[in-house]
Amino acid sequence: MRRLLTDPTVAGLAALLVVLVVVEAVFVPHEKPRFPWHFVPGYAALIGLGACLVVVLLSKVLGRMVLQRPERSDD
Amino acid sequence: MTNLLLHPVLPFLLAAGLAPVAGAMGRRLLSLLAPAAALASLLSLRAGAEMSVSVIGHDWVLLRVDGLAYVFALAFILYAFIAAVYAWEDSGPGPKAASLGLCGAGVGVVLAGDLLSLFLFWEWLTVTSLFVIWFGNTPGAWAAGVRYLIFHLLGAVMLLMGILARMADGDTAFTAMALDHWSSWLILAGMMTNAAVPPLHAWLSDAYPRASVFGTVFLAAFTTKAAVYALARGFAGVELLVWAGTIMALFGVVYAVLENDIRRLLAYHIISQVGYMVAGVGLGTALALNGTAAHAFSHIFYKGLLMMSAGAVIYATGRGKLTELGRLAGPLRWTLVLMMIGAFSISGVPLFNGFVSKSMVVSAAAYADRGAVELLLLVASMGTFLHTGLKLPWFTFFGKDQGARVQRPVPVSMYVAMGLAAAVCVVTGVFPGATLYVVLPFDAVYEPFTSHHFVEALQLLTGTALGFWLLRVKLGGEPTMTRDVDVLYLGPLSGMVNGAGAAIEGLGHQVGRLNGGVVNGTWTRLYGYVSRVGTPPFSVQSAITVSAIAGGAWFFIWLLR
Repeated sequence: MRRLLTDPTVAGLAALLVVLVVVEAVFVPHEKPRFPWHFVPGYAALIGLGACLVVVLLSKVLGRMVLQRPERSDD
Repeated sequence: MTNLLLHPVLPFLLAAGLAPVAGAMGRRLLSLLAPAAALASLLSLRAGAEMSVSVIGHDWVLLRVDGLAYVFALAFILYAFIAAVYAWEDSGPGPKAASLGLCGAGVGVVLAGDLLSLFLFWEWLTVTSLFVIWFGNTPGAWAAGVRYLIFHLLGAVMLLMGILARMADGDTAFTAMALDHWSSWLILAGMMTNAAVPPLHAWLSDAYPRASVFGTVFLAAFTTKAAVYALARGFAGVELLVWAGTIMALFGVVYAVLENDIRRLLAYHIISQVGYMVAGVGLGTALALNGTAAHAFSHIFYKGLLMMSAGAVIYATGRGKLTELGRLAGPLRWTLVLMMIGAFSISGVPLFNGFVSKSMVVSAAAYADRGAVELLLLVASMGTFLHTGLKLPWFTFFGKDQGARVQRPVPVSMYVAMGLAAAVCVVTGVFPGATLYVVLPFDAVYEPFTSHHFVEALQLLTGTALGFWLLRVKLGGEPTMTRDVDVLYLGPLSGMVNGAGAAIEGLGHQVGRLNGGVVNGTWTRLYGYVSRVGTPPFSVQSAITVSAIAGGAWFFIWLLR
């Protein structure tokens, strides 16, 4: 965790994300909000980060359980 | 009535015919001249132009130009030129004739005006694709081609049965079809096979990475996009397609997490990107259909660029797996730059072409009050950037050194082609109003460059980048292959072939006359092609064989009743 917090790439990306969310909240709210999440500033950031974590971990579990098998010689 | 000599397919047909007899340099020039001549004839045609000939009692409407056909034909022809530049070094008669034929067939599909002409070009596309796969000469290309053929024949049979049933009612026009008769459902299923809608998609990820690096560049552009055109023409507004497309968009993402082969990773993302187009067709509004056409146009060039740059890596290093690549940013820096242009485009980074076309489909979903579709398509966008924009370049060009070295330099012709494709991606991405949007078929105003679109896209991309960085240890390639749903049909099929082979062999022994070696050799070979996913136990094979024979007999009796 400590290493994570001092990783300059993580810090940089996280800072950029915060700036983008603030910019959205203050300057550019959704033009035509239709769905509940359109009212949440930073919903796109949440989809990007959250879905990334979920999709990767879920795919890996699926892969371990059913989808992956050893490579064959013809590839 | 327009002169048939002006048909844009004709130059491709002539060039493909001349390719085997011309010299190597002649073939190279033919492959550039054919798209140039086709472009000239397309530009000379006005909207509403039609050409038809009457042969064997049928009026074949070989050409029909309107807005929807025009934008697809234009993309195909421009791309055919760029791909021919890329394949300059691949000057053998076979590959050149097959790839020219493939381009011509793609253009033919989108210009066909009646259902039988559509079928004619559709099958021409299958056959030329098959030869492009076979000319790949890679290990496994032959067997993958056979599987490709089996699959597309299934699609073709569904399409043809549907078309013939419609013709029996005197209806041959290729226009919007209502799903009120089984014939329309068969046509829809046939088209969905070529659009690679799961579970009818496995031919794509199976065969495309086994072609040559040049062949893949041709394959990636035509078949699925021609099918998207056909769906947009015939089945706009069909609810099933909204969900089929959304599932496609996500499906490719899951498989791309697990994929190690760089071209197969990109192939799964073809399925994902075609998902946006299919969803747009299903939504069926003017904006959604414009989005489908625009995204097909963008996709042809950015996916082409990605396949070209992946091909350049394979050409230079002789390796194509993430577990064998890495640390190539120095020696292949221009390939990296060009791949990143393709990656930014497919990911919808502002000022690249994917941004101005993908957002159109996503917005169309929102305007149609389809919240779940909008949300899931945004999740799919995340996945696209994760794999194509981050995982693929990171583990190819950065990551750790796994012994990949540049064995031979990337030819200038390949760089020129990638540069041309990159130019299309950037120019249409920065000036969509003056380029891409001008050729869109329907009347719908759309402004991609709003401050909220920018912020939304940048948030999504930055969030994904952060997720990638946190999980990058988990995202490296693994030396595995991924089981796809083809296990569900290749398993039974290989069982059937094996069972039938055993039965014939047994019969041969009984009769004592049949040459068991020849008969059984054929079956053994066919079995080898379809047994990619392993063989079920003998009891299952027998059950499948018996039920297949019983089912076939029942079907014949039903037909003849």
